[in-house]
Amino acid sequence: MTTETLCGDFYTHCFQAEQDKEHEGRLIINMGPQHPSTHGVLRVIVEMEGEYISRAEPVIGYLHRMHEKMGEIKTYHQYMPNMGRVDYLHALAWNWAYIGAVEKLCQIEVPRRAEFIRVITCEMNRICSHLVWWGAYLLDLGAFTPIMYSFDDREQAVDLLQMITGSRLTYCYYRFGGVRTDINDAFIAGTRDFCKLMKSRLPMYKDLVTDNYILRKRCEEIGVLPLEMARRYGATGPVLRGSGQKYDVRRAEPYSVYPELDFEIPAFPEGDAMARYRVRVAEMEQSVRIIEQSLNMLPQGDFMAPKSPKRIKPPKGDVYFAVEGARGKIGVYIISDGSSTPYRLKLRSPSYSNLSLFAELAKGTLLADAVSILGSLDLVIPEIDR
Amino acid sequence: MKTSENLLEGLDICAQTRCRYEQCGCVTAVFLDQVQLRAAASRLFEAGYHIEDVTGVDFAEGIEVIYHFDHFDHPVDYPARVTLRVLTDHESPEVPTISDIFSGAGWHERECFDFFGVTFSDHPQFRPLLLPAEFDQHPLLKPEKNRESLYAFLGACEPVKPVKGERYHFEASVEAPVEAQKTPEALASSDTGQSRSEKA
Amino acid sequence: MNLLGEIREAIKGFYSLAVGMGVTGKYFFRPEVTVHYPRKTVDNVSTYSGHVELQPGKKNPDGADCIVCGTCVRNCPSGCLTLEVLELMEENPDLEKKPKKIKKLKALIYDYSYCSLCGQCIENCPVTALGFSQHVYWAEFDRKAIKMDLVARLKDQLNAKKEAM
Repeated sequence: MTTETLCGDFYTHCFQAEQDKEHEGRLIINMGPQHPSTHGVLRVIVEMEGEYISRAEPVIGYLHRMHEKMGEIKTYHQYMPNMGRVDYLHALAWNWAYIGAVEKLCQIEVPRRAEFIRVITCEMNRICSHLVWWGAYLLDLGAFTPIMYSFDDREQAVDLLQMITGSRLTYCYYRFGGVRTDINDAFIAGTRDFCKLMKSRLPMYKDLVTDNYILRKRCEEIGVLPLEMARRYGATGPVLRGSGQKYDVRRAEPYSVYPELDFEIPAFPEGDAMARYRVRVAEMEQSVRIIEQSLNMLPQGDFMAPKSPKRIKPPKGDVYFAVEGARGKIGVYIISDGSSTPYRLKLRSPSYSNLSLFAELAKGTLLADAVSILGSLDLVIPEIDR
Repeated sequence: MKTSENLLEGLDICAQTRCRYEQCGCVTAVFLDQVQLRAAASRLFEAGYHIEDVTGVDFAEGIEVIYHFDHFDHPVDYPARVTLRVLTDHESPEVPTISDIFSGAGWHERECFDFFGVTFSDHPQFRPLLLPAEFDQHPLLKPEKNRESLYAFLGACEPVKPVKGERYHFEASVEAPVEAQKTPEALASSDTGQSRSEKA
Repeated sequence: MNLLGEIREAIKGFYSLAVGMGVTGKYFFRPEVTVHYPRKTVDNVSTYSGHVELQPGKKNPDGADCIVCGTCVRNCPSGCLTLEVLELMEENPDLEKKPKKIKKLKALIYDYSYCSLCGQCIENCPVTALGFSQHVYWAEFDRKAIKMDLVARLKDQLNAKKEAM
């Protein structure tokens, strides 16, 4: 291609330069960064062969905030609010990953009551996250009504979380050695009602959407992700479980009180967008189960370790702590040099690995199906860009 | 499943530290020579591991590139996180890519280039990912006075084999590695002390 | 696919559509769940943590209990608090001793645009002089307008309370 016809930015140029000789003249277009189906500011450069994608490359970094650098500057306490902003849909899982890593590094004991409160709130947040995904994914596929139902339910959960955390989206609730506030009877009663509500709503979701013929046509056998490929890319969470691998950090690397709780890991072997959809809906059901059990097992006691340190100065060393977020394995790797700020702080975000397989997955699919695939990966752009 | 120790047997390992999972979240951390990296990654791939992340740390001796791997099917009470570490220098940091073995490493390596300026040779799509293309700085590199010695961090885990100084690509110019202080027998038996005195 | 299969598929499709329409039809007669702001407001504002504010003091009912230690300023992750201190000499100095300096809170400048509502200042305050407000419906056109002096705000609040009584 001659230089006169070159347009676009650095990434488009690179993408054009990689074009095969025989494919020369194929249309290269940008999807995003303001495309509504990309949930934020994701841009995908695609090379089209008619309606079919012959090559695709995601371009990210539009929402990059350098959280890892901030971690090296702020003290351990000061870094806490950042975690709510990495993944705004499942903020409490990120809270937990960071707090858990520091607790492991400093060997801080967490009271049992606090562990249960963490499980309840984190699972509640997971349901919220899946509900947003559920509504938004169907919106991508052209169904407007479901998001109204999902936001109605999510509102109940968010109101409950607001009751104890004080915020509605970017929570900063967990503390080193416990949680910020204790839960009260109103919250427990409200949560029980919410569990009942969700149990009645999930069959309704099935009638309304899951069995819908049009949805199945748009999801089934779309974006089939073989397990081998998922492993090669390090995909985790529902994306991996949609390929049939029963891998969940809550079971594989048990943390907190999850070993005591009875829940299943839903996995579907088909590997298509529908399998990923089913995994998430089944996960909501399991989260309700976990919440109900935790409420029954909730012990009395402290919600904050009485000896939790005011100033954190961990010993020298490194620690890797992983939790299961709504999108997969969230890992926080901290190298401490013994001072009050981390020497290095690495955030491993699940969507980042999940999105990196899109280029291979989208090859040869219809452009309209690529939207379905992108949606089924459940991307949260702030988490990818960090 | 093979244990992660057998897995890397026969490779030329600079230092191996057996970590306690309860303490640092991984089972084996291996310090490798760059030449061995791809061989180690292939073995891990064949054993069914997946890549978690690739990241870097800026130390006084050079930039350490850290690879985390995990396994899907490991027994519940035996988490299988394996850490590979390689070291590269500050002047022209370069590490062989493993993105043809683990496709997921491709993006992590690009991120590592953005943050640390580490070049991954033979990477098929090597270009900035998170930072703008025209931005030529690497934000996670520390100013020279803030860099700490690598040896101070190696001592955090229980060493299995002593560090052999001459295998590194850098001059081991630290007075006393923490590790060697801990295990005087290891120091005596290995040639670490000798090689350092020769250099001095 | 043969014709029979096509027809079966179409019937299946229509059936699933009918089931879905049944659900939406049922919910059509449900009472409204949305709240039309500003004509109506939600009723759970009391549990929401709004911006940071000085609380009326227990020891000092006309102002805040603040002892000007600066803990809130040091602990703030985004540096949105600034203390302005008034240094006074002791009013009735003991002539034999050196006159003591008394630190008094002149102003506590709070830049809401940087605040992440994490609550570090509130948790670390030794005299619990700070708290979350319930001032949630606050919007401004200018970014500078949401920078304010918390001492002045507390004074206004206390005056308003007095007038109401």
